Amino acid sequence: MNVLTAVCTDIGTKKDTNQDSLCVKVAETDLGKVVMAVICDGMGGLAKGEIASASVVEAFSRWYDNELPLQLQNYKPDEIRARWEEIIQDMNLRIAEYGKSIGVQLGTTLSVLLLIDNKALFIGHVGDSRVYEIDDRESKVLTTDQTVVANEVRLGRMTPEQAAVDPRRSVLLQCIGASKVVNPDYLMGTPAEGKVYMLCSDGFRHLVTPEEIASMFAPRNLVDEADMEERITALIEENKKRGETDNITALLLKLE
Amino acid sequence: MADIGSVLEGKYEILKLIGKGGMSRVYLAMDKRLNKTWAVKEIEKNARDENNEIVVQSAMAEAHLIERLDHPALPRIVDILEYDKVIYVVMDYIDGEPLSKVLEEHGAQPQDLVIEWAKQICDVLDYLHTQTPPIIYRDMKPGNLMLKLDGNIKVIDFGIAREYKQKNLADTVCLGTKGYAAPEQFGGRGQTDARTDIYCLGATLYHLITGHNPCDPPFQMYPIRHWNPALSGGLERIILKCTQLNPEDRYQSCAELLYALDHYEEEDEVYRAEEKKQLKTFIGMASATVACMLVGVLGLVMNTVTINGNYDTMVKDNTVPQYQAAIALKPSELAEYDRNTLSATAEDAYNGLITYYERNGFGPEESKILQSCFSQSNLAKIENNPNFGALMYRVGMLYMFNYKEGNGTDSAAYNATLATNWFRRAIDAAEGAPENADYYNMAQVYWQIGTFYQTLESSINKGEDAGKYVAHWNDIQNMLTLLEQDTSKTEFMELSVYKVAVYSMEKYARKFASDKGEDGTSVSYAEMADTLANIENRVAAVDATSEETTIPMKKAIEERFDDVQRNINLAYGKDGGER
Repeated sequence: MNVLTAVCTDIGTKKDTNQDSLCVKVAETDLGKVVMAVICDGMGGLAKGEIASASVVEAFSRWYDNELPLQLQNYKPDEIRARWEEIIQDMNLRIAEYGKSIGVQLGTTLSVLLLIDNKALFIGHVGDSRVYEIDDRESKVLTTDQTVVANEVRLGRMTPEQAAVDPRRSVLLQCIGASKVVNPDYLMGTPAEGKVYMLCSDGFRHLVTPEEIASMFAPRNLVDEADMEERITALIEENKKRGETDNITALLLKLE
Repeated sequence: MADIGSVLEGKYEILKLIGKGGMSRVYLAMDKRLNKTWAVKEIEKNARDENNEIVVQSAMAEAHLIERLDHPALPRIVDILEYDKVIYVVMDYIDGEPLSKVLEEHGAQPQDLVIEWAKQICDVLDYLHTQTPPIIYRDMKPGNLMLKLDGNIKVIDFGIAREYKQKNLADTVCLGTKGYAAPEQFGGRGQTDARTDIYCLGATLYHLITGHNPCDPPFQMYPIRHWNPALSGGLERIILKCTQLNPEDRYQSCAELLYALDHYEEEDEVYRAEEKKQLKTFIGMASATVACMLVGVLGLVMNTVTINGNYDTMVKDNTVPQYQAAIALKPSELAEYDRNTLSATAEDAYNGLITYYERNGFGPEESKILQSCFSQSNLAKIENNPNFGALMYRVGMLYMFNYKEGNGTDSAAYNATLATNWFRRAIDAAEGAPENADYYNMAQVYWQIGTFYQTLESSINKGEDAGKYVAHWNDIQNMLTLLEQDTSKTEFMELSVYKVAVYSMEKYARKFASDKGEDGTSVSYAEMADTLANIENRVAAVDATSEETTIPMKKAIEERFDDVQRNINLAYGKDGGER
């Protein structure tokens, strides 16, 4: 299996800092290609949100570099998930502690995707960043937004249309660093060759439709990495044109 | 940053750091001239808030705005000091605990207390909303409510450099980090007004009464009786109405909400009346069926016998869960009362529960259970029983003398405030039939003492405390006399009364010396000294037998005597302050 990757992040039109952080890593192993992609959308006053998002990305990056090789030697899916849980809980405490010490509340979302060749796919998820799976027909959101409005929709007290314009659309139910208790979502599955996986911060998807995402990133349209990056940039610019003011970040993986 | 030990303006000595925010610090400071503690908030002038705007302008403006406010539930600002790099705002230091901490330690709070707090908060919000221009607080949450030692509430973190401006909420935020913000506070679009504060107050009450933070899973507010069926249906409806998503559907002003809180029991009545109507219809249909089937009648009789049998067995079991079950089974059952010993002759579950707590200890956890057993709806079922007053008196006594905080702090005054509602019920019940009420005098005195503690601070702030101390002194004398005449007193009760008396003498010696009663005289030095000597003798005469309760209690009281005497001497200008 071969993997093409592309990333792009933009500070947006209104903000002084880009508090999104991301990372994508690819390695050749005995099990085949092992790919990890992480996106974190930080929040918090005094420009400290970027510290929260960067530290979580770094924690996963360190895990990938130092621990994953050992975990793969004796590969047990449950252990990967258990280790992720430890990292997330640990970072939740550390960031909260740091925030307390400087008197600022900060936190971050997390969407992490791990592909072990075409054998296994893991997702860890906190907050409202998203992981999409895209084929030539459609785009599908694999993660569940942990937001107040998404929760209202799930409870049947709000329609998706109302949710899209509700003033509380950016209010998270939980995040790493500012929640007393974090209950991450974990997903496992099998990746399919020929599919595209996209991770993005919420700034990337409020003002574009799922159809636009599907057609822009349909596997058959993605020629090479340079082309992929151009396409992300194009959609980011479109978002800004439509009035998005948030930081905007997206990351693409194409499996061949 | 102010150094510990440094003195501002030759006046405020910085003692320690007690709080910290992103751009401000709060210190405890001692006013060297007045010998009084203040809280000093330090704001850095070059600090910028989350929107990167210089804080100082808004901080100064707000400090001056608040300076002219005057309400017992708001800390007063007494001084504003401006230096090159920082501003210091000197304000009341509030001795107490934030309700967030109370919640963390004790969980859900008793309904009576929460309603009392709610009224106080409503009163202060109404005060703010009726200023010109109206002031919207916007950040009502348990962490911003201080429960003072006297049981009253103060609203803190009032605006100065509050790290929270409306438009911040346009960005991604995590639920809970901004308190219980109302829907219109997000997105920076909606207009916030008085109804925003009403929403946040509703969410605060929900958290206080259920112990469940609306920002934690399940991320929504259920009707409060989902968590505790014993809570009032009237209160449930009030909280639901406060927390409607659409501001139009909430109470439109704090005055309206305050009215509802004052009449929440009537809301219960309405509710109960509706329920009763349904029940009647149901019973009507059921009896029609029964009339047709003789066997059914027999079954019913059998059933009653079984219920009675079950009830007796449950009460005899002498455990809390069984008492609870028995009360749930027959909430209107209340036994006869022995006038001499003030204890129940036959066993009923209410009295059984009280006796159990008297013997086995009574604290916040137990109080919660007791409150649920003595719920408004249950009380309504027994309030016409001739023994109701005596029962209420026993509950009052339980709170006054047996209640222990989890942290074991001295709480004589706090206990007295907890007990006032119960004594009030006892007095009201006795007033219908005073010849039946042996406890009437005691209840009256305890109620007055509790009310004194409860209302003292607000009287002071309103400048209406004149005469209150002398009245309180007379209550203490009455209490001591009545205790002496009481034939059923226990060593525990006796020591508890002395504890209350000693507490007040130590704390208010100066006031007793200066305050003037109705006849224009103050408490004399001789009177104070005699009373203290009398208490010393009586404490010494108490034969304390319990290693766990009375022996340490006796010791603790005896340890206070020197300090009390010193305070009295100081108050009356006697030499040296020593004995």
